Amino acid sequence: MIQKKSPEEARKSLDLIFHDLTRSLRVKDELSRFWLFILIMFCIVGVWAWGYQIKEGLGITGMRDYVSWGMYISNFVFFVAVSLIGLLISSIMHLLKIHWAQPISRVAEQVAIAAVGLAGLIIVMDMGRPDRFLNVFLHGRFASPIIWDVTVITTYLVISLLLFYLPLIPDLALMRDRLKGKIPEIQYKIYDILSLGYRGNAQQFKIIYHSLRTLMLLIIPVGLAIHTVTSWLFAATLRPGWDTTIFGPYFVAGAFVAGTAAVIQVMYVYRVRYKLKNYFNDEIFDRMGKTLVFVCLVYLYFNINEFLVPGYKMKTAEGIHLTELFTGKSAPIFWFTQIGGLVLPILLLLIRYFRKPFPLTFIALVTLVASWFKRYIIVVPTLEHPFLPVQNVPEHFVHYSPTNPEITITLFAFFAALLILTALAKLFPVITIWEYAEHQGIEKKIMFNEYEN
Amino acid sequence: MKKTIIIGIAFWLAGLSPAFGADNWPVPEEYNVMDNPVEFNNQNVRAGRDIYDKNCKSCHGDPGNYNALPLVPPPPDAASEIMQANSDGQLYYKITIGRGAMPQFETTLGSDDIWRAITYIRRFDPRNEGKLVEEALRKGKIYALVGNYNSTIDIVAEEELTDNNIPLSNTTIFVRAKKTFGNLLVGSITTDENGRASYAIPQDMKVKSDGQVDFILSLNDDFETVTFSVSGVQVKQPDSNVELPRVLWSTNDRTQIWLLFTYFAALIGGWTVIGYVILQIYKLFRLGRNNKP
Ligand code: HEC
Repeated sequence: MIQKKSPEEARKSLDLIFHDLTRSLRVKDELSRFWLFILIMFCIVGVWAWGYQIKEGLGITGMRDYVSWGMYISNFVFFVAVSLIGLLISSIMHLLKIHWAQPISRVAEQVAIAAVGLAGLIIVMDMGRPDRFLNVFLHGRFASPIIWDVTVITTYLVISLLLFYLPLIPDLALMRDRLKGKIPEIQYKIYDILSLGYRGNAQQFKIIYHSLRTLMLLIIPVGLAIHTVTSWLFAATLRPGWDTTIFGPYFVAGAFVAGTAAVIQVMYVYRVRYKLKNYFNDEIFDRMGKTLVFVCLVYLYFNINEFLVPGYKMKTAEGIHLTELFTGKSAPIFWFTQIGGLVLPILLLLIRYFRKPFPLTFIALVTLVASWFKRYIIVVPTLEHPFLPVQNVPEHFVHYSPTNPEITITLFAFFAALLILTALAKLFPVITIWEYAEHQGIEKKIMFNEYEN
Repeated sequence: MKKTIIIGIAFWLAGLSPAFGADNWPVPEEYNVMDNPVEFNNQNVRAGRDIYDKNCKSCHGDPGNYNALPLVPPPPDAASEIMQANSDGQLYYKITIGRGAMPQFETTLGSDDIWRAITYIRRFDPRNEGKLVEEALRKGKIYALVGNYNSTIDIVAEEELTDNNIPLSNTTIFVRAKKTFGNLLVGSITTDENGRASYAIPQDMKVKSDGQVDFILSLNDDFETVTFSVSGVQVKQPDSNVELPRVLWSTNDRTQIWLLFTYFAALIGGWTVIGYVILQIYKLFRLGRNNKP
């Protein structure tokens, strides 16, 4: 139990915490301008490429009759996967009262919002006629996993936004109380409005606490659903490599790997950039490293099931597919995803040294890249091996290779996601101040005392 | 300099080689002299066109339009010199055996049909220019009634001449059944010397649950398009068992009820909770306003 601080001490320490955690709002140097410039430039290029694709049609991509899901859908699955970290850290770990994870719950929510928002957009970008998007809702077939996916992704996005906003309200109130005159008027105005007149009294806090609890419970089924349903987009079809019953849990486990790796990246950047060494401290990195090992082990277990069992039987079509993955054209990517994305992090992160912030971030980056290619390996090779032989079609129908506009649009998603993260970090503290302060033994009375009624 | 010339020649040869390949399609001796047993007349050309449209057009395109698929080597246009340079027997061999992307039709088309397709290709041979005179289409008429307790369709056909109508004897009448999309050819029957025919409705027809079928009668291509429909023929007793079963993956009105129920229950449940939380936020907003310092 943390020692309660005397009011004097508490005030001082709150000032310090507040100062540190609002640094991200203040940093405005060359580097951040350059970073914004790069992101916006790439986003513009991406949107331009999309415009080109809308004008010319999906024919400008590498997708053809056989491989009709290419990089876009791989990217979509990747982003949905990454977004699932919001469920793990800000709901499950909170409900299990795992205290070390509290400072990163906002990072997790940021990542979740950016990722799931982009996932939705990627789907629209994969449409040949995005202007007919509304038809999905008007004429959708409720028996189709695609409709379920659209439904749960929308729901998950809304819940993630609420899970981001609710714990932010007291922080907004703190900023409203302490930043008047120190930030642009308009920014102050936004904080003032968004803080909903929060004064830290018991009634207000109770509403927030209660709503948060409700959402944390709700997000568990919805979060599991988004990735399970995404896996059904594949598993509900009769194709070698997709026609398996463990796809739901397999995808969920893989999602935790990708999400944990992504959060580690963001944490590290915040730690260095916003001088938050004492907040995203070595202990948190150490524990995130252990978490990554754990989720990788679970995922490895599913991978063994997913490949060993059909590999033992090598049924005709399945056999062609697996041979291609194990020793064929896709083998380099396949083994990179298995080794770089699973074996390597598991082995290395067992060693304490590699769980230090920098080595961990580097290993997690490799894991993250491998996670992306893992989605590619799930989506594309299966489509290259339909049950009926591919005959009498031009060569570029048979093998998929993404085109430049397609790659540009795929990259757009990454830059747009980073832009969202940057904007969120520039506008709001990256750690929940009041929660952190409370953990340091600072009472709510002190945080909001000046305005206690 | 020398090197560049050699490389240049190598490229030139490499560029030519596919063209060589396409021209050089050896045909065994015995085929060269084969003759087309199908007579070159309007009817056979028409039959050949149907076969061509169904089996060849997707790659070879519309004859004379040079809009074949860009395959390597390219499928020649039916009206092209490459195509017409073949003798009938050579065409027959190439279509039967195939090569590369050109499928082998030995297993999918009978030799009659292959010869008819060749007849159609020959229609674009400059040497056949003007050989076929399109006859004016004849005018026919069909009347029909359901007879014999819904087991036959009794047909009367006649031809309209300028001054009078005469019975249309020995003419084929096609019988089709109306489907949700398009019509299905279920049979044909030839009229007798009085222009009459009695078509026996097949008793094993697959029908909808109401047991009714709409039949459509028509004449062949020698006539101006004319149809006669016999609607709502009670071919079988209405049978509620014919109803398609509800299955998970079907359309909204055919999928299983529990699935729809689960989907909407989850949807409404989830969004009710979200709505509740938004209401709480509104409550917070109201509280904040009342608490203004
Ligand atoms: C899947 C595409 C495809 C279909 C369908 C197809 N062809 Fe071909 N055809 C080709 C290609 C490609 C070639 C060129 C082959 C070569 O030269 O190696 C060709 C060549 C030919 C030739 C030989 C021309 C020459 O070089 O002398 C004939 C004759 C021919 N096709 C007739 C037909 C007929 C008749 C049909 C329909 C019954 C048909 N093809 C259907 C693709 C097709």
